[in-house]
Amino acid sequence: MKSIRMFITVSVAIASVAVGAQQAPVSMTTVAEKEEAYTDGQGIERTRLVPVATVIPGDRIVYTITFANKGEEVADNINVVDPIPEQMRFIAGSAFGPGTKITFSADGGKTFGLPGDITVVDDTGRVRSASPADYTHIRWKFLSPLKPGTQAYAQFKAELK
Amino acid sequence: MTDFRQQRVWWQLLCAAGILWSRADAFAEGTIAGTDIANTARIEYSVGVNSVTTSSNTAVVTVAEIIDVDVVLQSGQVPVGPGETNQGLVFTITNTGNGTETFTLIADSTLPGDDFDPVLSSPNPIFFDTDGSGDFSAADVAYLPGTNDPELSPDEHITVVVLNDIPASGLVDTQTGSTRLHVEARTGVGVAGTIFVGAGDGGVDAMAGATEGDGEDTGEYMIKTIDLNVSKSAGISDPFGNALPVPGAEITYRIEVSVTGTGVASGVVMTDVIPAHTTYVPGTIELNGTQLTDAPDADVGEFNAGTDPAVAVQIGDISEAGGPQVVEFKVVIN
Repeated sequence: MKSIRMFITVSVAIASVAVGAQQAPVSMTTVAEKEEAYTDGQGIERTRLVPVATVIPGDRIVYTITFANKGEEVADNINVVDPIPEQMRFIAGSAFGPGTKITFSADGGKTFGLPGDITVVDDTGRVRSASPADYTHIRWKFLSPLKPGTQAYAQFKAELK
Repeated sequence: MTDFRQQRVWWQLLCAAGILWSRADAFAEGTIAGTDIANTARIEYSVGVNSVTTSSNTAVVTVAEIIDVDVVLQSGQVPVGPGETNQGLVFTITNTGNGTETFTLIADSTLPGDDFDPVLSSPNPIFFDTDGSGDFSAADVAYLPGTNDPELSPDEHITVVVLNDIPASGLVDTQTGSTRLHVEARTGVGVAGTIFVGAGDGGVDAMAGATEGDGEDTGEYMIKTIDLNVSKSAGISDPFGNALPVPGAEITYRIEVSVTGTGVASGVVMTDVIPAHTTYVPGTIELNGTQLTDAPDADVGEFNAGTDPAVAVQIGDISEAGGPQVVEFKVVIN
């Protein structure tokens, strides 16, 4: 009897570990790319994104955050938050994400708001409207749940100072 | 969220529109070469009643080095005279790139398009403005190519003085001679965008920037010659209403000092010894019609009695434009 009881206890422990793994089914990757102009087969000039390893001041980088629901349950109330690297300046109007409400932070991610609603305190202590260059974080709030087996993405563009 | 492709096309259109203004900003400096720019996104969501927070991978890009330099002449046109030596032209050299660079300095005085060639001072024509005086001085250290090539961090600048000797002959007033200071990054020069693989700070790639990794500016000397002309005339009035040089007759001396040329004769002092057998008439010194006192005081004129009595007037700086300066005084024939 004693040995059977022990066996049951161990089984329960394994089951709870498996449940824990299921609770993080969304995987996410961030990619930094650069825009590159090219001419397609029909002679039309287009822009494509190419991987980038080095940048110089003035270069623009497109960050793409892709996430996929690889679990079996729906992921809901999704918020993606990405800090804008301090050496980079957010490009106005470049934040993008299908099916999302995008808000910005100019205080290190403490508070978020729509452009025009967020403020910063300038050097003289006066409160002014935050400009895109003041943004520190971007938040994409997904308006619908992400079903198992689907993926979504968020994007923004920033320029190296 | 499944219509990924269509959204992507729209994004590309946005990107294409953005390119139209993407290069409006010019960076004199920027993020330092070798800096790693890291980005990690965070996602929060709920599965059933559980809240989950996950981070993405960290995307890292490294800042490459841009090589740029700016050379700016600080001197105005330098007035010189034939035969003058060690005449300085002052330049600033600024590292406008984003990495630390060492620069080679080359001076050239044999330029086309000017009237004469200054001669670079020997053995060292380039000096660092070591004492920060803004001009050449004894404390300044000579630049020795390959030995003490200046290393500048981003935004750092130095001031240098290029010295020339002016030929002693064959020059006329207002002729100009030019000298150019050329500065090159030792890492390399080339058209903007030229890559020097692994040659940047910390082994990152370096790239020639808008200045192509070199810079130069040109300064100018102008010959300022000046000729000083003095003419003296005398008028006599004798006690009898005539103009005879008899004892008791008064002589008014008129000395006209003028210059020709483009320079300025500075600190001009006119001294005239009272002739033998005459006596200075006190209180008769005039400069351009204004009476001066005989005492060596605040005004510029004085009469020095003694074994060789003389009248002296400190006229000061004279230019051709200022016109002739006229000194008058009177003596009586003994």
